[in-house]
Amino acid sequence: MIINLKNILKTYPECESPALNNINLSIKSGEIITLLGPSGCGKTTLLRLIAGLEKPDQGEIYIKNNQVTGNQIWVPPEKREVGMVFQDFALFPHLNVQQNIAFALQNMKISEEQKKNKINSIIKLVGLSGLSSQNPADLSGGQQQRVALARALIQDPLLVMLDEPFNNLDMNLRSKMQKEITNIIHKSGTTAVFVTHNQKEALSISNKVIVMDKGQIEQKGTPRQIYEKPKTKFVASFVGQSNILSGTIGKEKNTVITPLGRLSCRTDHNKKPGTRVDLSIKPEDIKINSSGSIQGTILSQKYKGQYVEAVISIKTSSNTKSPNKNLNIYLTPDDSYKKGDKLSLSIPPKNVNIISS
Amino acid sequence: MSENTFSLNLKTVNQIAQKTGHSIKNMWPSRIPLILIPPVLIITLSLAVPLIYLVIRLLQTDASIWNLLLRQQTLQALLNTLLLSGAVTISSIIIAVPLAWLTVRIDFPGRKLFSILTIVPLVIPSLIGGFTFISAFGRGGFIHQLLQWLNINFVPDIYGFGGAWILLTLLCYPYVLLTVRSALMNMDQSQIEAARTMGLNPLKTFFKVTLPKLKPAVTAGGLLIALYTISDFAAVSLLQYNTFTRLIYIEYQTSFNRIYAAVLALLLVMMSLIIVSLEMKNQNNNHYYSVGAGTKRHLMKITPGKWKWLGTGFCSLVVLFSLILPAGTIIYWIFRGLRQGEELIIRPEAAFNSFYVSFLAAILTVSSALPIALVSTHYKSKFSGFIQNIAYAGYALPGIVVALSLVFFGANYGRLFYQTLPLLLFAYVILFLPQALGTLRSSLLQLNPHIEDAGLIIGFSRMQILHKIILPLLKPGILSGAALVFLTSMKELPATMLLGPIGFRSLTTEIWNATIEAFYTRAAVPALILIIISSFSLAIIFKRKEDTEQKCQLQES
Repeated sequence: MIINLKNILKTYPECESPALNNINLSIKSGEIITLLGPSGCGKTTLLRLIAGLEKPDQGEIYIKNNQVTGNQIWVPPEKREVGMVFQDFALFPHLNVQQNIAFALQNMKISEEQKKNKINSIIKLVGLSGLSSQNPADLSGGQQQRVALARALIQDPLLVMLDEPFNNLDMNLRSKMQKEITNIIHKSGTTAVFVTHNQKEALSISNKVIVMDKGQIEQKGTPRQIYEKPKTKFVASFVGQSNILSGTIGKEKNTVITPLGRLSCRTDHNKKPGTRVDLSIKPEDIKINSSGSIQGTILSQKYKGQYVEAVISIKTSSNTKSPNKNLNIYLTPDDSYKKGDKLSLSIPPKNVNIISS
Repeated sequence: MSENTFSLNLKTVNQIAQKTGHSIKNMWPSRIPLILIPPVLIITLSLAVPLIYLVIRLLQTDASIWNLLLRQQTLQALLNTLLLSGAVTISSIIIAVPLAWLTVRIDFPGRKLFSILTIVPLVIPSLIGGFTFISAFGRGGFIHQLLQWLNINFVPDIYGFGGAWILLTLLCYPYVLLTVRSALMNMDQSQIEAARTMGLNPLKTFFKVTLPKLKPAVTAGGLLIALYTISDFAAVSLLQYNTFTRLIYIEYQTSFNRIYAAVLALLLVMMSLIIVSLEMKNQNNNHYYSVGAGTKRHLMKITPGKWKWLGTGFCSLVVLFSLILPAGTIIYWIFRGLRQGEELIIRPEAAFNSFYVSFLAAILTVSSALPIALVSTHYKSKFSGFIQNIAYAGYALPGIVVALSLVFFGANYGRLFYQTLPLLLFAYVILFLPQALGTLRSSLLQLNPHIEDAGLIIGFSRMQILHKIILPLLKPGILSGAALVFLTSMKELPATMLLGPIGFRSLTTEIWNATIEAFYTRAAVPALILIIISSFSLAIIFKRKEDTEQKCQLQES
């Protein structure tokens, strides 16, 4: 384990609810992790605690099995071997590119020759060759970010942390830099933690996603697990769109009784019949199927380019209170449906995901 | 047009301005309207006359200028001036940088109070500083009296370099404090944190990251102090240290051949022009802003633990000498005067003269500044830039130089005006026009340019726009510019002494004479009045700065 956090609690002065509440987390060497959550969920605070830029109220932090925080132990940031890329890059405007990168080496006990080699190879790695004597102010946003990354990587840190690194870049540059930065990190072989509030970014750049909300960890898992099998309502609605339904586990195996009628569901739950549960179903998993059991009418449609987002009003089974339930589904732009058209829908059982209620 | 229709018109103009946005441009003619040219030319020429005259006068003289320049006395004065301004600048930086860092970053007891108190010495004019310094530490001063009472016969030697150095440092350090404080407050916390994650401890981070970023602010404040020191007349003269300003005054008073004083005055102007040009260069080279987009994170306060009282101690010491001692001295002399039944009432004519002359100076200066401000903001050209530079030159002219050149000019060409109020007022206009111009220009630049375009669209003539739109919107700027000139004129000493009509008394001349003759109780009340007045002018400057910053923030958002 590179990083281990135990029972972390952090409350900022003048704030009622804690910024971080009972956080337990471990990060393995070589992992690329994303902390995903809305603004104010505590993800940046978590980074700052690991870097030693802030102290938790309670809890322990271990870096490579050495305790750095907790039980009156405090290791200052400069001794933690953790690299950081700041949201605003935090380049030193009074130093040029090379000096910015070399800044991190001044405390290292290696020869000038080694330093030079290190700087040259990192400049090559991040693709800044030929720009070493430029001032940061004369660089583009993408170039500035490369300098920030080079500066964080040059000390061979145990872990490099990137706080919303793509936030300040425009749309096109953003996806280009996402690819490049993850490539560089893969090549360097370091462990990395990204912080982002952008779910698409989280799914595409990392091999493990940690979803946070209101100071707590909601779910950890691979991007696929997080997207396809959300464990909480929050994750279901924050990562992609989801239709959330409430229902009861049916008596027959792998069924669930919902306002849409009886649906077959995934098998990976161990709920007893009669248990009340919530379900999440992604819009793209609801298929138009002439033999489908769910009947509905198109209420509205919105053209989104690759697909058309439609709201379907479903007549619910008679024993529920509300007579209609709306479902979001995606249609292909070629389908020429109109408002008011009647559709038959079906949902494959593997896409009916049970959220613990 | 009645009040109502006017406000209605202004409203429509505003609405149109908002709707039209950027679509209308260049509706102002690129050439300056003829009607503005004569006043602008007359004012600028009159501003330049004294200095030009000084040069011409020197060129006509038969005595070899080189002989005058190379006099031992000149070299000594040059050395003294350089030494004093260097020493004051360095010692002010040594006091102000730690003060700024403490009051911005460290959470020590009394931080908020001290961040105000350490800036307050700015309200003490150097004349009052000189008076309190001498009447506290000098012979017959209250420290001397206290020591005598304790049977210790010792008078500290406050005259000469040492006294001038200490006094000017105590008066000047707030200039560096202000610039460095604002640089620290605008600093990005992320850069400090970045340095920490890159392996630097807090001390190294301060020297490698914080300090280099403060350099432009320290330079800007330091140059202001250097300019203040070389132009200062009252403090060095009262403390009898021969810098250029004092020497010019002595030469003027004692010598019949005033050419030598003119030589010294020109040397002094050259020095201050060098400082001003360095200041401009510093402003242009200022690349030390943070790079990267996004909002900056403000510096976090450091909680210092058991060392916290050190901060309180250091600040208390500075405030004791720079603020409490002068204020206490004034209060001491007032009470002493009251107890001994001395007549404390200031001469009414002195107070009246000060108010009356300053009031006229304010009106004259603002009216002269207005056309120049209009031309320099609305018609960007080499000509308007040139006019603006000449108008700002007064900023680099020490009061004694302006006074001396006008004495020359008056004695030779303007016999009619020599030692009359108009000549004194003229000196005030030259000296304080930059202040009024600065205020007016910043108010003009803050006006939405589309308001004027919109005025043209609804059919106002340019004179109507000026009269109905610009001037009413400019009113706060005009008022604060006038107030600033009024308050600064009240504090002026060298021009008032040299150019005032015979027997002319003002608050400043009263303090000067009383201090020289060691009638300290007599100087105390006018000193108190001037300090109060000076606080008002400082309040106006800060208010203006705040307003400008707020408007800039609004425009950005």
